[in-house]
Amino acid sequence: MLVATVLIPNFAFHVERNRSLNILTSPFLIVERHPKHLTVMDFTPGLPVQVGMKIEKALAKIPKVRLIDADILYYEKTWHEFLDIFQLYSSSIESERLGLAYVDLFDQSQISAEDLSSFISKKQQLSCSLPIQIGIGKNKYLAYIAARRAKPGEPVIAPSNVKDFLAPTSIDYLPISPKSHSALKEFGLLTLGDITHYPIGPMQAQFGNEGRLIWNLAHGNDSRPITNRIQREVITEKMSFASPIDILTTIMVAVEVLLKRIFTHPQRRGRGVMQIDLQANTEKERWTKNIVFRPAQETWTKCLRIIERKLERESFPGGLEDLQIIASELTKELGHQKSLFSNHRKKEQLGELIKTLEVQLGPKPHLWQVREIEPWSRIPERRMALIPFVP
Amino acid sequence: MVKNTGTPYGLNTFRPLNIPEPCNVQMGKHDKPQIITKKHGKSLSVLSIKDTWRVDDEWWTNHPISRQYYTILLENLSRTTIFIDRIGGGWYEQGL
Repeated sequence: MLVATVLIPNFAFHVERNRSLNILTSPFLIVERHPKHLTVMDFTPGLPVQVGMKIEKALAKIPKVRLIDADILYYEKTWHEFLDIFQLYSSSIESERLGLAYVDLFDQSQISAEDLSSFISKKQQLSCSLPIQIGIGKNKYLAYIAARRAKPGEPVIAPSNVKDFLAPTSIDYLPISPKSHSALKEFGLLTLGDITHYPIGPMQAQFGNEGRLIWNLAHGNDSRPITNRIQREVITEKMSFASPIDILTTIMVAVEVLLKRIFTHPQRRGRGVMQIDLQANTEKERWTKNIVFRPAQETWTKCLRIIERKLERESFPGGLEDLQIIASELTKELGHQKSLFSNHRKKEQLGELIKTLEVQLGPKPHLWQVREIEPWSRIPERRMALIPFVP
Repeated sequence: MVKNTGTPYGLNTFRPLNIPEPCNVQMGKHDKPQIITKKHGKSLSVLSIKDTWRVDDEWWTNHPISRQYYTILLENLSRTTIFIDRIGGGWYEQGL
């Protein structure tokens, strides 16, 4: 196995700066909105903040920094378009997060890091502005550390002497929980070299399964497979307004036109839409609204009614200069024929419901199922258990 | 009683339902539960005992089970089930 790691630190920052045609010269924070708070999603390199930091804390450190709303869909689209260029080399590409991907090179010993690097710079138009770091190694972790050491345009290949290569690496680059990170530091284990002085037993005893992973990674062993990326299927329609509009009835007309376009799009082909994102640039700031449909909607008329109800309660930051609707989470083709087998239909409905939850709660919501284990047992805790639900 | 391992519940965790929760019980007249202090520290007095039974099981293993259960009505008019572990000692509250 030969793996190439593609690393673009501060990916969202670079994408945002490219989008603004390099007008954004002063430092800025990209802010992600959560139901009850705002967090830092990305930032201008060098600022004393961290990803995930609450915005209040970040602003206490840098009071006069510019804030930009995160446009996750746009970053994801740009990221996947960028990764598409690797399809020529490999069909197996894992996207761990924005700015970090693993490409399985399937033992292609004829490929050199230089080949890959020159290939990227020729093929993709963004390479001139994105600081792409490439590392190649025999497994994901070696390739990742190599990429961390690489400079843009100067790929690094992990040498065969893995121990010396990894020894000076900080434990900050281990893919483990923050709790284990701080515990390792408390034990005085600051580099991977420090970890290799200990046998696997004490590491497992102290950190459980993570201890095994830590020990193996520190020795350059990584058996984690490359999991193919799942690309979100989206349909995007956009409209610009001659003058900013802020009257709901006018906005709804624009929404109607865009929805009609989406629902007649060949990509939809009779499938249901589970999520709609409305985005607009206003005179003041970017406005976004996420709407999840439950169940999935098959007609634009129903979608329009739901959106109208939601927008009636919405306050816009200013007149809309444009409007973009992004339909995502398309279901499988929906049929209306009733099934003779009600259980089968229930299972399908459950599947759809789970998909809705995934949209609302994230890619892997914790779903549990109550399962009878020993219903006859006289000991109550033996009778039933919660098990992870597998649809 | 099997001790809680402290492992956080995750996607790969098998989680038994109705696990006994430790609680404190003050005994009153005739050796009957009188005041129950739940895990979160709230104390409630027992209005009446609705039912009681004994479970002796797995006496043939190294971890025999012997519990005296009580279904009790509390002062806030809620019903709950508690038991005393007759081997390891200690009171527990348990959903049935």
